[in-house]
Amino acid sequence: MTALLSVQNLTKRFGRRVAVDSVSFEIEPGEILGVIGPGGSGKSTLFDCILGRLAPSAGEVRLDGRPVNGLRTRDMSRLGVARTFQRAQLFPQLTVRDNLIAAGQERHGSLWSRLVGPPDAGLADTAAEMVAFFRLDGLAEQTAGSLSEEQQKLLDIAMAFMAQPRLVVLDEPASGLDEAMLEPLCERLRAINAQAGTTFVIIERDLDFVAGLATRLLVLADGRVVAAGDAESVRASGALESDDR
Amino acid sequence: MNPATLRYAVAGIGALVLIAVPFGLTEYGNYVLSLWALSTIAAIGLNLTFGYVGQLSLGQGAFVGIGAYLTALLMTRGWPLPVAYVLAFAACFALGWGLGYPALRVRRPFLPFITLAFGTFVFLVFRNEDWLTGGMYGINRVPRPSVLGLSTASPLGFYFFCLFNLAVVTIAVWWLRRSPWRRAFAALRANPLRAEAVGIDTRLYTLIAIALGAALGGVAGVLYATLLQYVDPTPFSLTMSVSLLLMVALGGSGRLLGPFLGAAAAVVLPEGLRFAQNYYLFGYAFAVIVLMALWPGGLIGLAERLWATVTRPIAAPAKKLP
Repeated sequence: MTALLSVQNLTKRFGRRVAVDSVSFEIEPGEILGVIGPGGSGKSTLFDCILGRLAPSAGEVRLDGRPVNGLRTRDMSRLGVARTFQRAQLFPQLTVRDNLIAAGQERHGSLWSRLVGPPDAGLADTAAEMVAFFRLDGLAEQTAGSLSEEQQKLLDIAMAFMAQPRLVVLDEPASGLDEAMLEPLCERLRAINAQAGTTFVIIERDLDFVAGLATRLLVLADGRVVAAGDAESVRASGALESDDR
Repeated sequence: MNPATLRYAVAGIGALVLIAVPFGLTEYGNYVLSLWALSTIAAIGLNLTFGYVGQLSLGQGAFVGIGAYLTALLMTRGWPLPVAYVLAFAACFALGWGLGYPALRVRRPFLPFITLAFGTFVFLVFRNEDWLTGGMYGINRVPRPSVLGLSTASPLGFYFFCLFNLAVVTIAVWWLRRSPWRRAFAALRANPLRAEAVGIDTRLYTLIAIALGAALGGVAGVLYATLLQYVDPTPFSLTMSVSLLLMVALGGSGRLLGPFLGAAAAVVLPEGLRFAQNYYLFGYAFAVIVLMALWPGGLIGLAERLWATVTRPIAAPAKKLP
């Protein structure tokens, strides 16, 4: 079976500093991959390169076996790859409902059909489902900027699912969330994975959150992969003890 | 009354007022109203560029000038009005796109400088290329058109012609605002990083807004040339671009009705305050500064705030604690 995402020897340099050093891995369809490492280990830079936000210095990225190096973020989005951000990235003056519709509308129809088509781009029901699914009930008509930090984080995550993506990269989804919200969030992500077969990459510093969710882990340190495998084998490798994670 | 009903009620009353008012005015009054209508169209165009996608253009006056000169050149040579419309719209759309494209390739806000240079260049062409534009003497005897057999020769007839144009442009922009394009404009303006991440082609949408804004400037120019029946370079300087920008900001940038109020304050109000002579300009400048400092949402924002204050329910008396 062709890997959904294949990364080979990806390297990113900023001047003399090597932020990502020859990283290789593959993700199978339906898999939940956890990528863990301390701050500055190159996790976000790695996925910024994969998702087109940064140009890699070397290496190759393939989606469904086709090279996608050089594609822009929006092109990756149209290929079914969605992402969230460490700090929630929203459209603060739009309502929660409009944030959700904006996150999905470009996957539907052409530029012209979006001008002459329905105002909600046919996504009102999907947006309502997301509002309920991510516990944002009663907030649909509030502006995103008026939400609490935690609600903004949930909206940021909900937006990633509006375009029915095949691969979702969640960048530190647990940060900013209350402890009580973590298990319900895990449940929802598991449900989406099971029902829609969506593939996930979860970037986190916290092994505990990822270990209960991911089928496989990748540990990064100083831009390199220092361990890979399931939670037990990663713990046993000692890669997590070196920097007191 | 819910907000949607209120909006439709305001639009209906506004339309009736605009239809009824000219019958009680002199010919000069109708001329000023026509000038207001075409200025509103130019400001609606600039509102697309500045208000919706946040790009500052200092060349809207030049686009009005291009529309006006194209119309004068064509109609004095016997071409019909629709040809002037199509050419003015298409030429200004293409020029707007051509100016926006390089401006958006760099991260810095480059459009104001490009449009400023473009406006100066266009003004110099109008002034110096006598063989084409008539230089400082301009082009006169631009005919007033007949539309569907109806003459627009009288000031009243021409006002209704301008009002029809304004209605068409307003409905088109209202339609755009209710479409997913409005969400894309708002998204790319608020957070381009996330907008790209959800697949919004931020550069394409921004270019469309800039080009459409310029094209509406061209349409306003068509009306300008046929209203005055004469064009010369003087009105199309940087002053017109800044004045249109002020109309957008004063009325409420990014709002559908903002340009209507902004143009009224800039075009109609001075006529009512002629007795104040040049003191009007002091008052106008002071009012703009105060309004922008206290209510950045412009006149529309101020009106909304007043309405919210008037309709706010009276708070129930606090219950005594047990």
